[in-house]
Amino acid sequence: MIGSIFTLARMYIKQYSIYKSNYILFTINRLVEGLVYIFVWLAIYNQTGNAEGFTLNEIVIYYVLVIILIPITTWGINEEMSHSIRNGKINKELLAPLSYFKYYFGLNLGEIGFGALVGVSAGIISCFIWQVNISISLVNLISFIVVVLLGIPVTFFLQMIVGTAGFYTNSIWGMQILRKSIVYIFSGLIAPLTFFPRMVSKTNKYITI
Amino acid sequence: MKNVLRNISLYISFIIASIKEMLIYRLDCIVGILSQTLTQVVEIIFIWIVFQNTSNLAGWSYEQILLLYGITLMSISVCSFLFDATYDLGPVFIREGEFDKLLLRPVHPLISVLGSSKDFVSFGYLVIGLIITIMMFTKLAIPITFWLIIKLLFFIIIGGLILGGIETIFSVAAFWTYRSNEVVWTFYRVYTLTQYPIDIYSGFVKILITFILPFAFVAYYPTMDYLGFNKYMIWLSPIVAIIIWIIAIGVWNWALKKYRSTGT
Repeated sequence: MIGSIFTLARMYIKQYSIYKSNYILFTINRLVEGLVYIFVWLAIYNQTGNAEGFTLNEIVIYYVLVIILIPITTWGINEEMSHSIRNGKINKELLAPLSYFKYYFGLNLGEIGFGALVGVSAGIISCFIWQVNISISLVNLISFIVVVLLGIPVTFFLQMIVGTAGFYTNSIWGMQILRKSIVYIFSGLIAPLTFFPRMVSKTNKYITI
Repeated sequence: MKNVLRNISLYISFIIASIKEMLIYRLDCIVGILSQTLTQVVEIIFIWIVFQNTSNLAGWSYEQILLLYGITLMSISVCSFLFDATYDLGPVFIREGEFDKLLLRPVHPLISVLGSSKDFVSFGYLVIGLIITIMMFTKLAIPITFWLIIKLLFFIIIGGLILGGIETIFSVAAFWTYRSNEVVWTFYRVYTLTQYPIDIYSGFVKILITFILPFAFVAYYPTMDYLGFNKYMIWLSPIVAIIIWIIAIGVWNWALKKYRSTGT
């Protein structure tokens, strides 16, 4: 079973990698997204020198990590699911010997794998551009990777909830944007959660994002 | 001139047909508009967080930044509504062979492609942008005169045309890669740089968004005029729009000569 899931993941990564321009453009997209946030915070630090106890270096490192994590947390297979529901391909998928969940989990892993490649590349380039020095112990690095991996099933099930909206709507693009917006707000992708009002931190205790 | 007017009239007919098509799926329209509204809330939350930590950004206050953001949104709505089909040029038109049918029409294929734009979520951008703009004009005590409304409408459309022209130039990549979505996404990412005053950026970025990809003429310089910071640069926006479209049509015609069908 796990072998099938990893095979699907590898197949999906290869599919994405056919067009090298995908990799380059996605990386540029991540870099530009981070650029906007970092320049804004640079302007703030030039003005005030401080923001909620974070130093400038810490904020830049935070956004470099955001650049790495955005593809992992926001990309997914909900659009493929919705397409397969609309064009009837779901019939074949349900008849396949691999369960529907496992099939899409495999594809999701592939998408996240490619996203991780893009994210890490963009993160490394950002480190050079901003001359950031991330000093991290091996234990912290392993903990970081474990936490990211534990988050994958959470994002997958969110994708499944959105993808099945394909049974009711012609296009799930709106639901997809809604999911991404909620993830952006509640997962700290736009700013550290300590910058938000207390209501957001309280809400975060009850939702898994 | 007669040809240009005829093409514009055809384009408007295509747009009307696209609107009717998109209204068939009303639930999609409503969900899309509400979702895009929430996306803008994300950006507004970020601006709010920024101003919890500073009183001004490169000399711009919170209300001024929101005014810039509101005007930006309205220009994006015009661009999305009129030119969104360039996003589908590669994956839908070229890869699936639809573009070959467009070449057989007695109309320039660019008109047919642009005419199939049906981005309903742009209504959400327009409404939010309008609400924010009116609120900020009021808070900044800028009198909303008839002349200001005409100027605002004119430069929002010009802003949309500049964005549309640049998006059309970017979409030409689809003739070689058969994919335009990632290129157009990159364009939208670069565009977000102008949601903030360009003074916060380094020299290279300022030159990029002023002279190479003139996004600064979409909303930044017009907003500078409304705020009374700079009354001259705004009048370059229509000239920039004309130049961009001359380049866009030229690049498109050149790319059309290089086009090879996928055979689908």
